[in-house]
Amino acid sequence: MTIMSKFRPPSSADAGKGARLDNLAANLIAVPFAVVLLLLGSGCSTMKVTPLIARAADSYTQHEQKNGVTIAIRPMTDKREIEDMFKVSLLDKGLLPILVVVENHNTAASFIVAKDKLTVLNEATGAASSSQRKQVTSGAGAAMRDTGAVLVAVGSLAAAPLLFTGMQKASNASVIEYNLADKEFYSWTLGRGEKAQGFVYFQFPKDSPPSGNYHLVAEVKNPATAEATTFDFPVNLTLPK
Amino acid sequence: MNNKTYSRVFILLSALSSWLAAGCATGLPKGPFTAYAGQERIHLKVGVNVTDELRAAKNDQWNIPIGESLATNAPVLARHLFDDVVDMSNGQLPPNETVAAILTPKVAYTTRTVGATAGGESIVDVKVEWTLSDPIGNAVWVNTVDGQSSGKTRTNPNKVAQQALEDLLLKSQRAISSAPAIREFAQKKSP
Repeated sequence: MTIMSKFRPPSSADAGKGARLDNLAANLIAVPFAVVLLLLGSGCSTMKVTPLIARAADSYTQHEQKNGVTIAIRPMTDKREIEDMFKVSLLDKGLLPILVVVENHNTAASFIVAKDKLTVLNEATGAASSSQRKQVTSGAGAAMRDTGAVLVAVGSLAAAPLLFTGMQKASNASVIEYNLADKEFYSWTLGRGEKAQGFVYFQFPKDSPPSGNYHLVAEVKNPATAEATTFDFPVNLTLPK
Repeated sequence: MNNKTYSRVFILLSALSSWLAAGCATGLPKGPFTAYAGQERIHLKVGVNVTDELRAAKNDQWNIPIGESLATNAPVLARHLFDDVVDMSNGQLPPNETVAAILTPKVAYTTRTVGATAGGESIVDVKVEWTLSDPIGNAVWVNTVDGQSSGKTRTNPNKVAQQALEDLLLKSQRAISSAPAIREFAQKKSP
């Protein structure tokens, strides 16, 4: 082959072949993206969470009324109930949720219920801890999604399932973390007739679950008089086997 | 490739990159939110305590600088609520100033969820604990206000965060102005 023949002007047959190769190359890139975009809009759905609907405080077995304030608590130790509420097994992650409901029925005063004034006290050791939330999901879903996205972007259609599984897992993880934080008990000042509810998260080492007698202690303060009222609930936090 | 195939690839690449870049936030509007409902101000001289902790608060994952925005908005909100407002930084009053109460905002929690698809729901949630205390630090009123907004995951997170922030500020205004504990405290201070 001469140099001249190597660089001869393209014939109409060559032009047709070149166009076909161009189209093939374009399709090799375009098809995976088209599949990705198509699937982006369908198939997967965002996790729905169960809203926290607490009953009247005095309807719980453990409740106490002082100065017109009623506080109820309910440790949640049933794995299925926890899974329904939080979409994750919190006990396996070292968190035990305790529902706290506070109602102010005092006709004259407001009361401050501060988050850091709700403490779980170990009767045996005397150690006290306030609500401690922690990350309960791994970053595996996000890592899977990002890896899948990169592979699909470079044209590997085979990575599409990895991308979609990762997207679903990352989405679920973000909803689970949000749900956990959203249901935590925060600080409130309750006016007459007002109610607050939420979970105190008792954190324990995963290899050493709580057992025995604990107390949930709540201090409620009347800001007008600075008078503090303490509620003390004995609770057995031994987890079911 | 001919022009038609180039443009197809370009459109698809742009669509995918915009989805991938949806999480990259660039910042909330610099100016304060001002669309509060008019109301009678509470007769109290209040210091608004903006702390470094507040200024630094942000959603690390999504780079949403919620603290900076709250630091700008807290004094503006306070001026809609109270007769007289003094700006404070890290608990320090300006020289020769006194106040009857100190209002301190603190970011309790902030997050953004992502949908399973680019069209799936994404929620931005901001919880701020407001504390009104007397000058020696006794709490008069504490409340945690929740601002929330949602959009599609592909929507710019800052746009959704701005809506959540506005929701938070409007709810904060309602919570502070309707709190009996604050009204009673104000009456005691200026009967």
